[in-house]
Amino acid sequence: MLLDVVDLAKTFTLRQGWPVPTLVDVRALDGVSFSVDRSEALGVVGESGCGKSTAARAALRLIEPDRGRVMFDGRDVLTAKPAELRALRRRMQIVFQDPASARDPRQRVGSALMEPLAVHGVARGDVARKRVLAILDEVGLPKTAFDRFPHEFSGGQRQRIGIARALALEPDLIFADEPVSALDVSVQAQILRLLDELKQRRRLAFVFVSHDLGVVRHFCERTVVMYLGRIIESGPTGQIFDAPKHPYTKVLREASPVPDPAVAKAKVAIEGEPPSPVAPPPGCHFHPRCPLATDICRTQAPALRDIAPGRRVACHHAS
Amino acid sequence: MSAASLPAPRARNSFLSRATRSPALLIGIVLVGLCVAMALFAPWLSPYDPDEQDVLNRLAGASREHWLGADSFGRDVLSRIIWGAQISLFVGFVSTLAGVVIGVLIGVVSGYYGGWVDRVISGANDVLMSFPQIIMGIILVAVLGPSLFNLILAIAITAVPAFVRIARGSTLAMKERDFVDACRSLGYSDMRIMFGHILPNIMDEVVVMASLWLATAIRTETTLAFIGLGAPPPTATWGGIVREGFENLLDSPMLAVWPSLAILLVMIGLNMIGDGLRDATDPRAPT
Amino acid sequence: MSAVSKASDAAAALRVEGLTTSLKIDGVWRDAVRDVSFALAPGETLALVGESGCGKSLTAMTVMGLLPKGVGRLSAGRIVIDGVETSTLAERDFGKVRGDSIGMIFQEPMTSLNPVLPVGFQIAEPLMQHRGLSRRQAMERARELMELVRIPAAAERLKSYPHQFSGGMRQRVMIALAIACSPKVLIADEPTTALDVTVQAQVLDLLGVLQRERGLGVLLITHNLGVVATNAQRVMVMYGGDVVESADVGDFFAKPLHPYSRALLAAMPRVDRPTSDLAPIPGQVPTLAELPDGCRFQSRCPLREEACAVRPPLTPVEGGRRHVRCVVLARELAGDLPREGTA
Repeated sequence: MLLDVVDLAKTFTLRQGWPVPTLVDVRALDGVSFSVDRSEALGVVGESGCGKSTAARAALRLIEPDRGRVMFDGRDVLTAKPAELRALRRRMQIVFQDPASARDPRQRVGSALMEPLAVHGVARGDVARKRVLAILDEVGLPKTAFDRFPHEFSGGQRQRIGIARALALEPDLIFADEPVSALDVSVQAQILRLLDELKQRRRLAFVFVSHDLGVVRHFCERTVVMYLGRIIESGPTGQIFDAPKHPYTKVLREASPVPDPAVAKAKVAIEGEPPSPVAPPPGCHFHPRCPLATDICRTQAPALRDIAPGRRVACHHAS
Repeated sequence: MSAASLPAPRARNSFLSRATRSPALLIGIVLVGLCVAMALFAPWLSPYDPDEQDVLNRLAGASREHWLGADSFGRDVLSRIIWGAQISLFVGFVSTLAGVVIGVLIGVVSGYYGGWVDRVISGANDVLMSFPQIIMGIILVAVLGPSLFNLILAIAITAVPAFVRIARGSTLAMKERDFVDACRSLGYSDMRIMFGHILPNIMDEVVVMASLWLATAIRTETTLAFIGLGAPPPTATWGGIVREGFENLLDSPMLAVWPSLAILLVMIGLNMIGDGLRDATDPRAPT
Repeated sequence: MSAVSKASDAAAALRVEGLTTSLKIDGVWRDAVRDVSFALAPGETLALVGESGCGKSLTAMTVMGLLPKGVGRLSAGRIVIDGVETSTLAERDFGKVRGDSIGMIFQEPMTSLNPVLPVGFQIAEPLMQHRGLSRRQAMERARELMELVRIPAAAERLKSYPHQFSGGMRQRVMIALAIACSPKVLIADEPTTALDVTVQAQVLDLLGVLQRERGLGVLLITHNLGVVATNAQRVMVMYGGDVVESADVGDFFAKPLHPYSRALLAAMPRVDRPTSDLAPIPGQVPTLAELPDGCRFQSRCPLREEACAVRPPLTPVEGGRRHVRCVVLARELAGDLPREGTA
């Protein structure tokens, strides 16, 4: 495995209340484990607040997790010294949802792409310039983009720049945090195509965080579903969405709109909204909204267990 | 796949075009520019040596020889105001610059690192800010002793907290944006991120603040000079001239009015520049 | 122009004819919405779909009379809301219609609600203004409305502030606010785009119930074709300010006609089946200034030919059941083209 994340946990402490604030703990990650292989894309899906973005950032050590282990190509990311971490980060890059906020607005595209090459002593001057122009071409941007500012580009083009920058250091793994969510459908398809090509050509591995199950189904071979900081189901993407085992995955799947009026009508009623991660319910976090909930669900958190080759579910009642 | 069509290059002149369309900013620049020119060309502009005493003309009113009259030592007021501009503006600019550099450095570091570093710095900063700025200046000059260098030092120190606060706030806002995480994931050092990426993005606000602070610094200098804590006499500074004029207020009221007018014009000019810059850099302002 | 509607004119809750909206860009007025016509029957949901900049939200703003002065204007066309022609009304008189016979909900309910006022009061406010209810009556009605939109513990939550609600609950508050005066028409501009899918399903479900039970005509503006399929009866696809296709939802998804409609569906990854071969639309949505004359889509269209330089009419096809704005298609489908004037 290229990336192996084991039992990652992170609790944020927030101040809440007025006029006397109290400290509350938010369990953003609660024992999350996943792994990704070369030229494989792992989808991480779930609703807002489920911890999917936190998982990606903790694995990259952009935020320090409280507990867990992140092994990248046999090396421990979480205990790496600063110099070693910088070297590891060369090989793990991130692409963000909002291409506007992910770029330094004062930096021309060319210099933004050449900077990482200089910082890591990969290339400078004309060599770096050539390399950047080649990357721009690879992501479908014209050479003239080199001297432009980010604000001069459309949303799709900005995302191409974001991808180009992630590619500059020739990484092995890319964390993509909702990379196409801010884009129009037609442009989204272009970017997905580009990512497809990169995955094939460069044997890139992806951790692909998204709330859009359709996009994940298209792009990812395997998927993990998260709910309130825990992984509740994992397996091959097609199987998960065609035959979900966890009741929450079912709900998520049914609620995802499909452009077909005939399919659309069959709907599962879902009660309530996702509870706050500040005070998650005991036992299985999903039990207050679950049609299958029994006593054991209210007291005991189900472990993620194997139920079929490559498929794991955290539900007392799944079979 | 064709993504090859880029929009036509858009000149990054929106700031300039906005700025030149703001009459307040232009007036401010003209006013301050005149004062700066006056200070720079003082040796050629001033009709007399500012320290040359002419006892025969003590407290003389405006005349063909002394356009703005003469003071109690018979020194030419116009010449003193022209030379005084040098000291007053010099003190203002240098102390503001020093305050900006120190304050922004501290503020960016504080905002970027957060945690206990930030708590200590913002705590200390809040204490400093709770002192009225003029009182701070008086205390510092009183402790350090009145000299030109100490004057600059004192005013610079009073300026620091304001810039710590604005730089820290802007840095916190920038840190929320993904590009800082992007920089970290590219393996950039903290120094490079703070001063290569965050700093250029918060400079707009710092510059606006600096132009407003420049006015405050000049006012502080004149106030300190007025209460006798400025550059030692006979050096001509605006505050000093007002003070000398004030002593003869009943005999020759215009002595205090002329330098005050000069101060007023610079204050108005700098505030107009500050407001104009703020409008010009505010992305929400209509273009 | 033939009215793109099944609703007879008299019964229509909202009727729009030849609506053209212009925006002032760099000092030049440009048509950002061109000649849009439709009628919305009570109890019907009409979806307006398209990508950003296609003019769908601008159409809604125009109907609501919310165009910013000096930036946007209604250059041509008629808007009739519940029998009242609003396009000629003065702003003051329009104010009486807005919030009374027509309501609107937006994508981000947090910014549309006043953060410092309790939600109960905010729902009661239009009732006091438009219906002349006393404060007590209005608050009582506000509670009923909050129950109607299924906000749990409505009576207690009347005094809560917007930030104390979740995104989905806030959108319910917005709906309660919009339907407070029992309008005939509700414009929903990307009402669920900011919400999670399970919450989206709940909110859309609620809209469906209200629409059926209260005979509300809903103009649903969205970029999500999945949402259209689930929640609308009719659909109008917009591109570059033009309506390029309009049809019943069943017909549309069974066989989208316009090249843009087809491309849009082919570009959408689906959760219900593998989409190994996504077909992106080449290029990007042109800005208003870059839009080609004639057919707006020609710069990205696979069927492009010389005739596209002239703006094609919205042509009735399949016996007038649906309309499409494309010369190539109109010619191909000419077999079932009814004679002019019989549509």
